[in-house]
Amino acid sequence: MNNKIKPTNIFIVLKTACVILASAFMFSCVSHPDVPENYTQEDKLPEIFPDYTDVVVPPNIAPLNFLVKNTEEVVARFTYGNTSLTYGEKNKVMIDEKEWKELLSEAKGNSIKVEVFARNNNEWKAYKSFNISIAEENIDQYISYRLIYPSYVAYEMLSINQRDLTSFEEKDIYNNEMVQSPKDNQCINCHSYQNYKTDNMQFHIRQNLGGTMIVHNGKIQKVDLASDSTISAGVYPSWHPTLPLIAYSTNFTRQAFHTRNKGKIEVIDTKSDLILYDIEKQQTTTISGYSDEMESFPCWSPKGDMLYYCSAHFENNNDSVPIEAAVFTRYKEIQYDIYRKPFNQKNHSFGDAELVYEASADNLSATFPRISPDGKYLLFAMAHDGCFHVWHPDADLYMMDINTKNVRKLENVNSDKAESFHAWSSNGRWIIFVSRRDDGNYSRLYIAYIDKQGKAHKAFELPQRDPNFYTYFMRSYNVPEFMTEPVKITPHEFAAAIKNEAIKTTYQTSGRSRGAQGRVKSVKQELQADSQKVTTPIQ
Amino acid sequence: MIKKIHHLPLIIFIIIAAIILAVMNNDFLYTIQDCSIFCNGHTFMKSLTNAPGGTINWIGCYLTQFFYYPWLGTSFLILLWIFIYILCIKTYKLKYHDCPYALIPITALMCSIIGVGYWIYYMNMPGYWFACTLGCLYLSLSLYGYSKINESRLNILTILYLITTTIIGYYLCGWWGLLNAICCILLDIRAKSRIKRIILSCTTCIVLLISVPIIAYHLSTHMPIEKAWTIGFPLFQQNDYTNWKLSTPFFIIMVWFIIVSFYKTNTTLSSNEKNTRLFLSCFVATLFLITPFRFNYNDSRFKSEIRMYRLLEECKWEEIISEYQANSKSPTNQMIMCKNLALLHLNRLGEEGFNTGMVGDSPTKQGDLKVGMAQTIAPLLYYHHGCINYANNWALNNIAKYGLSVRNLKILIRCAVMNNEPELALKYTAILRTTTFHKQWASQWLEYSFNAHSAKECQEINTITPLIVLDDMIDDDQGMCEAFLLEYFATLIASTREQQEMALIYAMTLKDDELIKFQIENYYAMFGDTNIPKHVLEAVDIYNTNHSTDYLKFVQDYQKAIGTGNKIVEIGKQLKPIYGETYWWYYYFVNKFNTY
Repeated sequence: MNNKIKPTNIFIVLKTACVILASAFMFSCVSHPDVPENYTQEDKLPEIFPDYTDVVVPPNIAPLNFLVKNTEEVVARFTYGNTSLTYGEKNKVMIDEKEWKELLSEAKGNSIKVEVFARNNNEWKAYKSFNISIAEENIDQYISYRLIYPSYVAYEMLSINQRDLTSFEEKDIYNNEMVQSPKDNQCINCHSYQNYKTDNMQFHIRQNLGGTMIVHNGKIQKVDLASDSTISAGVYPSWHPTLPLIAYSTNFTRQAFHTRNKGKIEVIDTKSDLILYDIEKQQTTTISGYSDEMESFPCWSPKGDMLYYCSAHFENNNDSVPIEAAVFTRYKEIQYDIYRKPFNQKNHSFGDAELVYEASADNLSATFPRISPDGKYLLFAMAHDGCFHVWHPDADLYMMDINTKNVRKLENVNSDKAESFHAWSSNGRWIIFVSRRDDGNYSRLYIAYIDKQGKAHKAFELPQRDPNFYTYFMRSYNVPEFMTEPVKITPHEFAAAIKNEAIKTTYQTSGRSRGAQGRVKSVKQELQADSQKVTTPIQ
Repeated sequence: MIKKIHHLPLIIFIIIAAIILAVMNNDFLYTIQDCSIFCNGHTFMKSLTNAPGGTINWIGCYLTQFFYYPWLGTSFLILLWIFIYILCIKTYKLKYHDCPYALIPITALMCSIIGVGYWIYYMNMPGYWFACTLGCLYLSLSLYGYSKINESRLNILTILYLITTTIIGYYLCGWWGLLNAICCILLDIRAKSRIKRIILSCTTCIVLLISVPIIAYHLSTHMPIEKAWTIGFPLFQQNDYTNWKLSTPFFIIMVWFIIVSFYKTNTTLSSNEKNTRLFLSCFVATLFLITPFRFNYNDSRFKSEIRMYRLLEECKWEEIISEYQANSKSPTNQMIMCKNLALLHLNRLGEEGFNTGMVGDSPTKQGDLKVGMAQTIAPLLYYHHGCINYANNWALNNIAKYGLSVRNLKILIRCAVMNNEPELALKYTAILRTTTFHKQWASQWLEYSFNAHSAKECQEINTITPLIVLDDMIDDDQGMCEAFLLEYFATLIASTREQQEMALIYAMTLKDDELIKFQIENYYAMFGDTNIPKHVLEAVDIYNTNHSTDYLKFVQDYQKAIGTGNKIVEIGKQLKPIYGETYWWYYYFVNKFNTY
């Protein structure tokens, strides 16, 4: 028997491969199913997932693929002007990316009509048509977010990812699986950027190999922001829009678990302050460190002349009870108000705090202030109490007009589940936020259009190639941030830098440091002295 | 004649494998599929195949689901092993007198399954149970192909084959692909190829061994660089501890393939030499066939625990008690918790809770592995105690840390239904419905989620609902499920019979006088003073001023024993035959509450 491989056999193999590739190509071509000729008209909107009915979307968004629940077959017709496209694969509507882009560019500033026909038991039904409005303004091409199991304990499967919003491409910025061992694990969190650019960005590593990864002018540094004078290393960050400065909160955070509430996890700060990190000097100073205030969530104004933040007043009246125990017992009393401090960009000094919104006066707690790029609006999350609103089902997004101090709930944006972790696009026309509205447990990303009058339009879920993706995906999205460019540092470069020893930063004592004399008097006491309290009604 | 029976060792192996797997490890195999999952869909496939070696994990998960019927999964395994055996014989052209040696790798593969024990809860290696067999199969197939191509004079073809099978092998099977490169070169040397060709092959092999893992690391974001050369190699690690014993089968397989790839048997043997060789190989094979019996994790309490888990899932209370009583060794805490739940639902906890044993042991040590209930049973225990959020949290934690599994997904579904979260139940059931054997269960629970009427008729839901405490509080169990549950119930102001009975018995277990008195008062307030169970009366006796004559007799005996000057442990042992079934004995002599 001749065991040699004959050249003709190789040709047969190659020929077969060509046939398979050609078949694959044929199958990959777009199919446009026919709209059924006979159907009964339904006077209701189709039950589609994700819900894209009557939403406003950016003209550069990826296709809004969706599925129609409880149907066997579906055909959807997208019409704008003379262009009409049909799609449908079983119960899914999978739109061709190229055709979608062309359609959006034609319909920019107008609406696309969507008609949905669904078949069940050989009977076709036509649902009430809906519109998808195409805004004039683009959305930033990239977003980044952290993917995490909603358990908050195991760290191995954590990653910070970036997504191109104009397509379905998602990449890891950094994946924790790259630096892990059975013995030591680490949490990664709080990625943020300076002015939507990625040459200046940062995120934290907690526990094993802990430190803050700061990318400054495209170069990575790992720094240790902790000092004896601060509560912790930096936590919630905010990049100054122009200077090499990052404002951080420093928090002593604990998590606990509800025995019964649907917001299953409670993350509580028992202490927190604000610090400022000067990247070039590698030096931290205290911005605010009051003993009976828990300051957190710093956010620079777009001009960099004001630092917004939240603070909760908490006094431990019983000296025999440790502060941590007192906070845990009285956690429902902890409510955050929004303040701001003027910042002198020349000498890097802060002025006195000014109360911007006293949520506690309305028996509420406001967190995560975010100023729109035009400086007109302040977007924040608010719930009854606490600081970790992503687990509070009553948490909603609110917006304040900075000039009029008028606060309103974003009705079109909110749901009966938690909304939080919001961010503005660079042009201020889009917001992205996290919501648990899909199922109450897994946070997903939603995008909403904010028009020139500041009106928020119905939010839509971040589109995915497979509309069933969210059903089978068991990780939560959190802390979405817009970027105008992708992160250029590779995950491998981050992994290598994470293994480095962190550079120890120095601490510069300031007038409001937590020195031996303890923390300075309450900000509320100062404000009461000023009698400059501003109260604003919620609309 | 000898030639005709040269497959006898294989037949013996098949019989032994079938007995050890499908008979001796029947419950364990069922647990294997319960702690694993195969979801039919792109998301699941992508989650596993995004790192080198993930493909065999994915196929491994597919095949693992067949352990739902342990004999079916066993049949698949044995078939694959036979295939590997045949390929090894053909690749290395083993004569009949050397054939038994081919049993070594497949016996090692069997050992890699049956020795796992408690590690089943601590390994994040999806599809492990078949993945290693599939890796070995790939290696055998590839080497068989190489041995055939090797006979050609086309250097370029063999080099191309080597490159292709190594890269594909690494992508599909991880480290098996690299082992393939080494074995191919050894086959070349064994075949006494021309020196020029050996140099070419060796150079290619070294380049492949260095470059393939490095390139893969840079193309993937799912593995650390240190793991690039060993990706997919099963390591059993927990914190600082590595159980090398469980990885030994893979070292044996590796060494075996290296040796037989290199070592060429002499084909011209005399009849006597052949018989000697046959005897020797049979001896070695016999040693290996005995090994599985030694390697098998045969701890009766472990087996009881996994049976009780299944019975608890199915709310088979009487059978839980029977299983508990059938165990001759001292029970683990986990077994006691299950037994107590069963007694509660049989309305016998107050009568039999203490006389059936309330003092548990830690699980049998398996190396330095730290076994915690958080991973073994906490989600189900919390669920059956009505602590739905904690059940949900631990199921999610275990999924995040050790991978998605049928059992934890079922807990999540149950929790979503009990918490009245239909959208969440819909999500989880949609995932479970993509499995082969759990679709029906998922559909049934989806029905419970959306149809209150059918939920009301579900025995399991009716069993758990009375234990759900409606008031919320925040707390943290720190991974100590049993301690948390005891304290949670002992401090509870109960509103149902089940809660109150649990509260009092758990307070009595903790031996906290204040809590016991508090719960006794609550108990009497709820039930009145008729039909009070035995153990409750015994507890009352301790705190009452009017003691029963039995209790007075116990105190008398106790004081008499104390007077002898014996240690309290000795006195406990001495009085156990008389009072061992009373709460008094527990109260006076059990001083250490160990949990894990």
